[in-house]
Amino acid sequence: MSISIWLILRANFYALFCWYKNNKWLLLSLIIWPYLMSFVILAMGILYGDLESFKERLNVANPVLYILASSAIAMSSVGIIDAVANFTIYHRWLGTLPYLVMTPTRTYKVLLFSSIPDSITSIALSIASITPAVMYFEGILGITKIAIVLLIVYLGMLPLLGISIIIASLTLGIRGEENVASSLTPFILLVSGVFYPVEILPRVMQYISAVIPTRYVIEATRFLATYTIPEAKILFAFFYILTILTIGYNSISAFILRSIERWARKRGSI
Amino acid sequence: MGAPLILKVRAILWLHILRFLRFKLSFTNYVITIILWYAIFILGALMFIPREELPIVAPLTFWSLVMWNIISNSVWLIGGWTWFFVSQGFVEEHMLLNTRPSAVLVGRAFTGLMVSLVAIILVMLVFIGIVGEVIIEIQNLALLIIGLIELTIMAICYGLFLAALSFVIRVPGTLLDVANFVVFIIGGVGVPINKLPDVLKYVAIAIPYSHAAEIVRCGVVGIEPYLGLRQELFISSLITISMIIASIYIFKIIENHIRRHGVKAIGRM
Repeated sequence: MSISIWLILRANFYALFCWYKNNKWLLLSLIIWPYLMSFVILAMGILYGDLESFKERLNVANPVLYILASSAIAMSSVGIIDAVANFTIYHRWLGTLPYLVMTPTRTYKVLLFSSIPDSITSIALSIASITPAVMYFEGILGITKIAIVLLIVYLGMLPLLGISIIIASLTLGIRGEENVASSLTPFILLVSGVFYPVEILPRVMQYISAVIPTRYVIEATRFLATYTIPEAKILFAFFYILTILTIGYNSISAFILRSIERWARKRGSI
Repeated sequence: MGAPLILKVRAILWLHILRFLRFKLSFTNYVITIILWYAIFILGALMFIPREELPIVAPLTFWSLVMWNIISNSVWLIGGWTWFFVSQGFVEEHMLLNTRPSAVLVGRAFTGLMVSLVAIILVMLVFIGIVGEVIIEIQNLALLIIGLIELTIMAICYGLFLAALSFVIRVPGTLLDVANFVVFIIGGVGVPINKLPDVLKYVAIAIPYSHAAEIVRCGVVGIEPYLGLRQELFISSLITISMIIASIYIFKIIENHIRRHGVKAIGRM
């Protein structure tokens, strides 16, 4: 009998709760992570250069706030991709992957819904962690903006889950415990233009970035950081693009996973 | 009766070379990951630097990244590897086979140094592409080598120290990165000590890596170390020797603790 989505979600929320309960340092590190990332970029930048150059090149009013928000988004994205892509490699290490694949529940369903609790939590924690700083810089308006950013990041999570399943499929197809997909996370962030405009990247990377959801999440954040009251129609444009990417990636991810899983079973690499 | 030392060293090196050859894809992937993360940080930091100052700042930034690479690889590939080592139950297995877990973990330095070497070469090529060959115009090669060797030994000892701690406490791996980030800036690795604010200068002096880093910077661009070259050479040698002794001692204590109480780590480093 196949397991319901609700049961998978509940089990994984419980597992996650236990992880954090038994490892409070892990929870703390998730909260301080965006500050650390921002600290390194800002410290290096200020000690070697100046804040004005950054403001001028990126056309943002508050560089500190922008870097903080970008770091939080970057860490959320890393959290989502790791939750899905590392799921297969972790179970392969533990020797439980064959059992998961052999259960009557489809692997796609297990993979997708097992990683949703981790993804939702890591996004919420990353964004919540920067809320005090946002409140300090922009007050109540900043809180409204952060709520919109949270919404955009959750929307950005949907296509990213599809990409992550494609990445997980690659690790499923490899014989052995090799982690072949970890470089895709920084690659996605690199082409998304986390701390710099996408225009400075080589042309090929700019083309690739057009289909990467994180790019639009970061651009929306930059847009929110630039204007006091941002124009709604531009924000909606980001929503539309993310919706199209969600439909695109999630429709092909199930097919890719199924094909690679079938091939891996035949080959005996699971 | 235990096996001769040379046989143990050979066996451990062989184990890591075998793993290294077996996980070629993981190795390639790890190197690419490092380069990509560096690219993200470099591009971010470069947005702050006026274009005309780039040739002056670039060599310092490049060698800072080299040092950070050595430190973080030792931390992750020795200290962080305990996630795998503990989850697989290898600590107990090695102890039952009369092999000290610390010896197995020291062998990881081979993997760490290989990753660092390849990553540094590739990052160097990227930097040369951006700012030209100015980054490899070295003022004093001997000082650069001394600084890098001391830094590598310190990093390996620190990795071992973390690995030992991870067997008995529940500190997650992400905190290793936290420490790396902090050390990079306020530890005098990423930025010369004399460029730091006054309060942080004292913090940087207290962090062991800063002394080796000052020697490296003196070798690369001829910046006079904050405490003077002779003093820095003396202090960094002293710290290196102390760290070797301390890491061996700490691992002995932790191994005895494990024999009596078992591994308490939750495996997620």
